[in-house]
Amino acid sequence: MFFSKISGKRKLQEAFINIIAKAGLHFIGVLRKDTLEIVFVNEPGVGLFGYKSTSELISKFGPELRKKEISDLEILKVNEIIHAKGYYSDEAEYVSKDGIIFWGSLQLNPFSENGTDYLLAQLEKIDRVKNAERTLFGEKDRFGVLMDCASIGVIIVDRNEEIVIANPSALKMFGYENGELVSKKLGTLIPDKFQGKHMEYHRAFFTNPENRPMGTGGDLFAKRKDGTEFPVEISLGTYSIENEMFAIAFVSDITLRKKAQEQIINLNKELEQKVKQRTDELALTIEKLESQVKETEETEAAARESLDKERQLNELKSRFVTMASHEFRTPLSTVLSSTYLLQKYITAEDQPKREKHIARIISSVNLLTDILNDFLNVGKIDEGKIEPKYSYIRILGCVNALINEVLAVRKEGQQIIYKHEGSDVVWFDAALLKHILMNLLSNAIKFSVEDSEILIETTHQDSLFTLRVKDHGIGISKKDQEHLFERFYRASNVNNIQGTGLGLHIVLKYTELLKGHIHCNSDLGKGTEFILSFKLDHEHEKNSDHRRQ
Amino acid sequence: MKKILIIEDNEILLENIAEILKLSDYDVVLAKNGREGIEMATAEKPDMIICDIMIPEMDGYEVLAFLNNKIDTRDIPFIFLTAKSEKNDFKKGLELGADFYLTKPFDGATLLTAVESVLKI
Repeated sequence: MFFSKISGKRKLQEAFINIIAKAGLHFIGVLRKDTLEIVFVNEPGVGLFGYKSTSELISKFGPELRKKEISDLEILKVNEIIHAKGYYSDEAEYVSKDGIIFWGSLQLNPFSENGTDYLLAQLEKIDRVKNAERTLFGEKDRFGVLMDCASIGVIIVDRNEEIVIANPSALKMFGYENGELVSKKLGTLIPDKFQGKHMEYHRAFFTNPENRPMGTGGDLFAKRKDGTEFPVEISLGTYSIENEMFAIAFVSDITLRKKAQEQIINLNKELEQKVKQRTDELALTIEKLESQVKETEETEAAARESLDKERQLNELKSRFVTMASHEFRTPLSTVLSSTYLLQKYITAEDQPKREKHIARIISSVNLLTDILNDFLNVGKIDEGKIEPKYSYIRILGCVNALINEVLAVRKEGQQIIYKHEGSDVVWFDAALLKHILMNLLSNAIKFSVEDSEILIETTHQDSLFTLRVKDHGIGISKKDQEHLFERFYRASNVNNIQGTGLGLHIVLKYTELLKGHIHCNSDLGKGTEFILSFKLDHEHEKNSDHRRQ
Repeated sequence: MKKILIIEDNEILLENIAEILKLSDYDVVLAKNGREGIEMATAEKPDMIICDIMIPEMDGYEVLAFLNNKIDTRDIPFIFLTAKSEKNDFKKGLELGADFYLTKPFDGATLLTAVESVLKI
């Protein structure tokens, strides 16, 4: 109440002061400059410090409201500043009546009245963001060592994406000087192409904050001051001070790791390729080995087979040699002896004798030719070169002609009886039939004694044609019957009877060619009978060009 | 005139051998198998026997062995005339006491030489 009401202007001033005293937003007070005693304080200022009336604050030593005591030296300094700049301002912590500490921004402006110096003090409670930030810095101070020494980059941003703190590692990582990053937008550190997405993530993160690692789903990149990009791994966390939320990002430069990973991936690829290559090579080697083994096996099998064939051939050869020795030598002897005698018969009267010996030579040569033909036929059969040639033949005619042929060579008193039943015309191979019957008949003659009876029977009924040759000769033992049809095989009881051992083998082969069966019934000393049966192929018969009506 | 018994199952060859020997003034007796041969040898007392080995009834070896066991036939000179040309057959024949082993095929001159040389012994 040291303002006096003087004039209209003064009245306005009075009203102004009154309104300030009651309704100002902040603490407004007046302090004696020399004593720093509060001489005036407005109502909001009283409320700020938790007092009930202005009187409680009046005469208080202003700096007393501060949390931290102020030394005389500091007061001196403040005065110096005011003197120099015309005002003083700072931010400091204040304590209310009930002990609540808060930050306030103080500004002091000097003025004089009636020779006394005063200070207009305006104190604004710093808003909670600022307050939180300060706490954060306080925290930073507390954990400063941690932050400064961490090899990992630590960046703290507020809700507005403004960087509040970046530790030395982060600065180094991004290429900034100390303090350069504070108040910069977070986007500064993010490559342009990722900006859009980043904003989305950022907003989503602040809506639903959760501590999480970033970049696990894909590769994250950050941007240095010089614009270069580098791969990073980021862990996000939140930090809340006085309801204000901050995001803390722990950033690792993973360039090296990435390179290492790439190297590992490349190495892996190389390794895989090598493994694949080796596997392929191995597979190839195995394949080669297998084929070699197979080849060896085949070669062995072929060798075995050829060895078998050779053995068979050797056996055949030895049997042939034996056969030739026995069968060739006798007719050759006849040829040689008859030739000798031809030389001796030189007179005209000797002509009949000469003719007889010429006939003997011819007959012996024919016998030799027959033996050779038998041998060659076996070869042809083996090579599959003989094919039946079918035509309609008259059985009775064929068989009788054959019988006439062999009559000359039968033994004394031997009788050949022939019977036929059924149709005379048969669809058959005449040449093969002749060969078969000739063989069986000569055997019957050869192995039967004089005055014995040889029976030939043929039947032709429906599609079945059978041929039976029966003698009363020396017979064949059961043991010999097992080998009867083998090449060069000769029964044990015919050793001293001429024969090649080829006849029955050829008979069997020809029978098989004609799709027939051969059966032998024989008893030693009683006789032998061969029964051949052929199932005639009517389809074949009908379709044949050689059909005879 | 020397009498020679020929034992041979091939009738034509038998006739040829006989003819060759007759032309050289030998008397011949013929047999077509081993059994007949022994009968003839015993009955005819030939000066020599020419015998095939592979013949019916009894083979040549059996014939020789049989005749060797009888006093009146064991000294008759014996020639094998055979298709069996193996060394072992030859050896077996001589071991049995044959005087000559002649293999087929043979020509008349060789046969006569063999007969003459055996008769001279």
